[in-house]
Amino acid sequence: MKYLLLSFSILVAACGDTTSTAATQLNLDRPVDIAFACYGGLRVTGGAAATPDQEVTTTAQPLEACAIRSGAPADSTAPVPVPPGQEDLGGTSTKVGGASYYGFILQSAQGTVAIAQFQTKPSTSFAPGGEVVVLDADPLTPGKNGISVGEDPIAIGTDAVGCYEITANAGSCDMSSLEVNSAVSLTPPAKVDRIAVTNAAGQVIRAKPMAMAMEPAGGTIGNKCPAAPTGLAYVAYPSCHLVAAIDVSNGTIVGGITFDATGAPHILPDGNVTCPDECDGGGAIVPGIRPVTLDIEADPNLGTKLVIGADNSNLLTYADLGPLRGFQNLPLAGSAKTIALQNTTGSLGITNISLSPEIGMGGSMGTIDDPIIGMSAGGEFQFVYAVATDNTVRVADIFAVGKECDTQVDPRFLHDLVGGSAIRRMSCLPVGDVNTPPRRSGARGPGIELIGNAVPTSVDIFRVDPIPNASPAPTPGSLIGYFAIITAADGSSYVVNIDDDANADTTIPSDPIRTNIPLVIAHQLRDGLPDRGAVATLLDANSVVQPLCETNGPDPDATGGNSAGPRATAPPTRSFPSGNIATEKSAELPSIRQLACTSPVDAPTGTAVSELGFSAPVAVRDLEFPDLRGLRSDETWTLTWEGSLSTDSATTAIDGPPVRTGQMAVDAAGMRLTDQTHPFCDAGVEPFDVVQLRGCDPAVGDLDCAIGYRCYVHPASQVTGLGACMLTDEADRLANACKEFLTSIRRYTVGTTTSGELQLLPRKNVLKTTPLDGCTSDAQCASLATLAAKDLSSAQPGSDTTSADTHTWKCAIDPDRKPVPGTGKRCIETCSVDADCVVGRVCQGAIEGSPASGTCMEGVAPPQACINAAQRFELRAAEAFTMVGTKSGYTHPTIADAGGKCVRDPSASPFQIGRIPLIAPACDPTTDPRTGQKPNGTFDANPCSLTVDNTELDPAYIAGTCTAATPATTLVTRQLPAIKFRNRGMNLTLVDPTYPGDATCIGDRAGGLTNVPFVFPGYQLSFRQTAGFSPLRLGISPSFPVKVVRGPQESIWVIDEGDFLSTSINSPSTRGRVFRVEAQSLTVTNVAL
Amino acid sequence: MYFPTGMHLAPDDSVLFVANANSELRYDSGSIAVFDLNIVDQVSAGWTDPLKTMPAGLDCAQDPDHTETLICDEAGFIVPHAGARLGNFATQIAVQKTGMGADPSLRLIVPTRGDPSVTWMDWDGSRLSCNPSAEGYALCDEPHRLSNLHNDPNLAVLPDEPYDVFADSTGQFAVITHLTSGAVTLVDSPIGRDAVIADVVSGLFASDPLTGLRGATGVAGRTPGAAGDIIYVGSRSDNRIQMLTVGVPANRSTAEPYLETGNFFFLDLAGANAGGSIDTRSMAFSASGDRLYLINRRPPTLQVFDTSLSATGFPKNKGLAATDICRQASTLAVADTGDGDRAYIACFQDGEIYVVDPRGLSQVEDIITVGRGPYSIAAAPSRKKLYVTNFLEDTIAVVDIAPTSKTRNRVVLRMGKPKAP
Repeated sequence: MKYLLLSFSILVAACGDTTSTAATQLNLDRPVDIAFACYGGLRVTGGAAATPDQEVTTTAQPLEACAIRSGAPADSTAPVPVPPGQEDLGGTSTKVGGASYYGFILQSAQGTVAIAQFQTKPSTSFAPGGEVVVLDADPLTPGKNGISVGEDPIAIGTDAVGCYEITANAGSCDMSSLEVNSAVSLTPPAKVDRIAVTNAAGQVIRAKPMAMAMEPAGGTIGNKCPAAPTGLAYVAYPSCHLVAAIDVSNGTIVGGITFDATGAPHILPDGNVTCPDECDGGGAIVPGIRPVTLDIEADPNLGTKLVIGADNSNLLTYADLGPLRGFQNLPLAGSAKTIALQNTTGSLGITNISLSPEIGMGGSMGTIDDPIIGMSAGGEFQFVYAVATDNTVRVADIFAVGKECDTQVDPRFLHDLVGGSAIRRMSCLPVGDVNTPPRRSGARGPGIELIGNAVPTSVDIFRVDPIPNASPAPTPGSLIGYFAIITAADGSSYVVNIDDDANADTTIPSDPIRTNIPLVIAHQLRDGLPDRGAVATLLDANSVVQPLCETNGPDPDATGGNSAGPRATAPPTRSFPSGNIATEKSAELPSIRQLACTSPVDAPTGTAVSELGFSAPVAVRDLEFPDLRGLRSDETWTLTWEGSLSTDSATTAIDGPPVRTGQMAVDAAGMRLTDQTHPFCDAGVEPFDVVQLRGCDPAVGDLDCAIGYRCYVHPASQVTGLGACMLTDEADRLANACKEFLTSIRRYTVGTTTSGELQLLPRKNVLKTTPLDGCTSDAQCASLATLAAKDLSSAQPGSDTTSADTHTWKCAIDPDRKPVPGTGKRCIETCSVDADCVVGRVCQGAIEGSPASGTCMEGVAPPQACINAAQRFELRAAEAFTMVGTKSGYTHPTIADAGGKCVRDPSASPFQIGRIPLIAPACDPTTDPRTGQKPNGTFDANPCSLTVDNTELDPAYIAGTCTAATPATTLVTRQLPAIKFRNRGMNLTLVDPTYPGDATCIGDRAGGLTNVPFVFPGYQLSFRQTAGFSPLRLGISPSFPVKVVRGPQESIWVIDEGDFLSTSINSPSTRGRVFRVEAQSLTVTNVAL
Repeated sequence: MYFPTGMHLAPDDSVLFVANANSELRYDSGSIAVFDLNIVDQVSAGWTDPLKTMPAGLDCAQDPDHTETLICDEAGFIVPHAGARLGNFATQIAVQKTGMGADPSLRLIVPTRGDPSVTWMDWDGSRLSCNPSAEGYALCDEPHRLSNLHNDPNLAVLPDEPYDVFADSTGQFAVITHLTSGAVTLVDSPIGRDAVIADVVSGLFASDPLTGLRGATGVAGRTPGAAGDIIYVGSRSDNRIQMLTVGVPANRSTAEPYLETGNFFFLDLAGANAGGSIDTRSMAFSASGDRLYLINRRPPTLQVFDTSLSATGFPKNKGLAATDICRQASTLAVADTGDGDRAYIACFQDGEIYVVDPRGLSQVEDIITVGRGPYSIAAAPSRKKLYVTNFLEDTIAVVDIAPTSKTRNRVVLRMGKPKAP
């Protein structure tokens, strides 16, 4: 009974849950475009002065009428603005009713138009949610319905006077007009007319349109709507290689631009064109330029222009439509011009395009200073933004420069440019110009790149005026000036700075962190982190700014988000595999430079801070992080001696899996490793690198092997966890023949490299403390071997009783390793039998009776029968640190030449590297410390070696002893050998590539050794770099945004065509949504779904 | 026809092999039917002629709902006694060319879910054979029905739910995916010798966090005509595309080939705000191997990837474009009939084929109503025809895909009279 009661109570509890989720009415079905109209009360003045006897009606009207009604009243008591002639005349005259905006949302798959309504009011009065309401076009049919307009419509636009919506229909190769009055009022039912497109001869053109742009809005407030649409529609017909200007009143082509067989554009003075019939068959489609995207911008100073992009051409075409003339037709005037975008792919095309108005570049006072030519600090420009098929957004200027602008110039080279001329120059750095500095490392081309693999889908440009009577907030989301919004297929919507009028325009020398170049110049993704200029200071009780040393900066994982500039979140840490060095002696190993820092607040006696840390001097931070955009927002960097070249994990795909699978072959030509996916150049393998065969892990049984193979561990093997896949019925039989292979650690040197095959060389065991300039004698090797052995001891050097090394070492040239300078010789382990060698090495070449005549090998050439199975292997750098980011991976300049051989890309940036060896050419002191460029224009070696001041806390001892003093450490700044390294976004200096050794006490550096490294495979330095570039994204979450549209009051409209398949009862699955975002307040978003 | 599922064209577009899944188990086995595409072309050409010629000797009638379509009994198109019988619930068909030059010899590899097993049969240009007898409409025998690793009954059985299959004529192998385990099976198919299940790899894909299931789904080879073809495999449960190659050991006479796992990449092109990008159902490469087209059910998209070789000699594997498509898409075919590649997507739930022009940003160009339950698509560029199996109505829709045809992207012929719902 007790159980029954319990069950019942559970049931009651379940039934008692009265939480209900309201059903969400879904209205939209894969929207692709939107156009806007204004509808409401209108006094029919005909443009004349208002009189009480004039008719007052409710009708569609020019968009300007709603724009005026959306203006802010002069003060709280002032009436809402109304257009001239629409005022309340008082007395008995009829009042003019209000008006609303209507959005006509095109749904291509359905061939319908849905209607959404929103109020005329200032943008600042919009609140999040509920402001955009989808209407029902057919109240007599269940659900909310759209209006059928045609088959597969691809674009919608409002006619010149705001009374009709025009669609271009790809499915029926025609156009449709939807009367706004009937669509909104539904009395009479929505009136849709098909418009056949005809040429000058009256023949019907049946080509499939791909894009449409309408003549700019005009019209006279006070006029009634005409009986037919008004104005021109410019329609792109890719298969006809034509952009036609079509009179929408009757569908007649009155002009256009056609592209000839060479791709050159030509103005058509009339409608004398023919096209293949793509809807009913007929006429061959011939190859040619395929215009697929259009935009028109009417600028009061520069006139009205049409820009055209083609998906199979790198030519951006533009033409002058003549002066703005209200709603009258705008025939094309003059000639069409082109700008060739750099064809980085060989097949570059443009898929979406947007044209800005005239923009006066520069200014940081929170005002927009465009209207007067010559008044802006950087001069006037008119930009075209074009989504290109290389997944970037290209930028060109068609007014001042007339060329494509390079948005990927390495900021190192722009850092010191200041003043108006710099603003002008940096507003458009022409692609290919001799004065345009090099691009940042890894740039795909001159275009704006989104984050990761994001694919841009559309772009539009917005002017954002300051909010009246409000000071601009110093936050990333506060926009004043001109900005582009780029939507991406992954659902993101990025903000791009074109002319940020509330921020600096160049780097300010006194404030370089806040004004890092990517934050201040044009055509850069806008960063989203606040307080970029924060420095390690504190305002003390006397209001004096005091430096801080013991701070790592803001918590990057704070609930409120990250802030401030790029930095390491903590001093770099060391880690290393056991059995190589005593922890107490880890200071012998290379580290990242530290600087002295003194603060009356938290370090009155001084301390050491990392050059990458937040508390490093501003000038150092500015130098160490020269390109914010070149840094991922947050990632952990590791510098691993002889580290892996590949970074992928189970959940990340960056540069390939650390353990790969291939096949080995041994024959008269030598030993080869092949991988049919050809990954070797891609991985950045270089000659003399290391291939570590990974065999199989016996701990997982035979799972690492193919069916029919077993994971075989040779009984004599002392290598832990390293088996070999061998045919089940062959393993025992081959045990003896394969013994040397199976008992070695199977480490090989890379000989020649091609994309699909590596030559493998047997690898000798070399002493890790071999001097960088080569050994001089066997005795020296023996001494250094003992030194290495003593490194395992925690004892003070002066009292260390560790026995001398018992292995034998020969100072000789190793032709299978990278040549060393100096003597050219290395300390190579010799032997008579396997037992003479370090564990995992096998003795080869020993002559019986001749002691130590053999060589201890890390890997040997096995009989083919030993390696018939698939071979798991790892690629590791040789004699260098690999600098690998958890998001950036391992960076290298290696490509495959025509024959497949791995070579250094001659065009690679000098910063496209990921290795730090211990030997490097000397740094040229005349080199610019930021750019690495020498006075003659060439670049200094990267990495390069130098001597630097390094500050560290040394152990302090009581004089004459190795007993720790009080305090136990002392701050020391000394000159050390170092390696300077520069990559895409970071510079760092590695100190102590070699160590002089200790004489008496650990850390006394009195060992007197020269050029002796103590580093060993697996030694790792790591740090977390945070506050790299963090793009500002709109706070919306579309599934698949296909278009961004500039709406009334510069509102941002993002059209989401994608399905959202909900897995939660609290959110509905949708088949498309339309988002409205207020440009003046990006956090205010509304959605229609 | 009875619940037609997979199909595949002969490389010379002469015949079409169609799998009948026998999904209601009405008959004693599933089967492979062979359709003569010359007859199909003759009939459709006559019908689309302005005179609308009705074929003589065939049981045909105009579709009353779609007047541009002719409906004919399928018997008139099937090559008599050329088919073969196999297990129930066949899923897809892969075709391996086994004859040199003009020799029409082929081998069909057919995964069947019912057992589960993989059936292989040889085509000599006139009939399929999968048993020692010379009789037509052969019932495949045990040696042609592979259900154990290395064909050894003492070894493990083939993983459940074989789903998709890809055959490589040059490499003489086939790769089969498994829908409910995420395993990938390698079938060694040497010319002149019996096929054998050579290797199975698993653990390539993460499991679905909601269901715990792993699934391998679409599979395609980048360059099937070249040595060292790279196989791309998609997943039902993971947003990962795994690359595989087939290794042939030096001791080939005594050891079987094996699968080698290569790099993988994630489908991060679309879906970040829609719960990720998973449930890849079908994949196809462009003729050059430079483009990979795949369809995902979540979100419902066609995704286009650049698989051309980068400067390093390794495929770029970078997303280029995506297109919103129907929900519950099943399979995909790609064809260029003279106006560039088009991707044709079978929308099982909607009874439609989405035609996507993948140029530029990629967009839906047309939507074709083809019948109930379109499952598999085969495109014959040389004939400018698309063939679609309609699983739920036992028909094959023949779609005109000639770029300048009046009936472009319309079903001009339906082979089989639609079964009532």
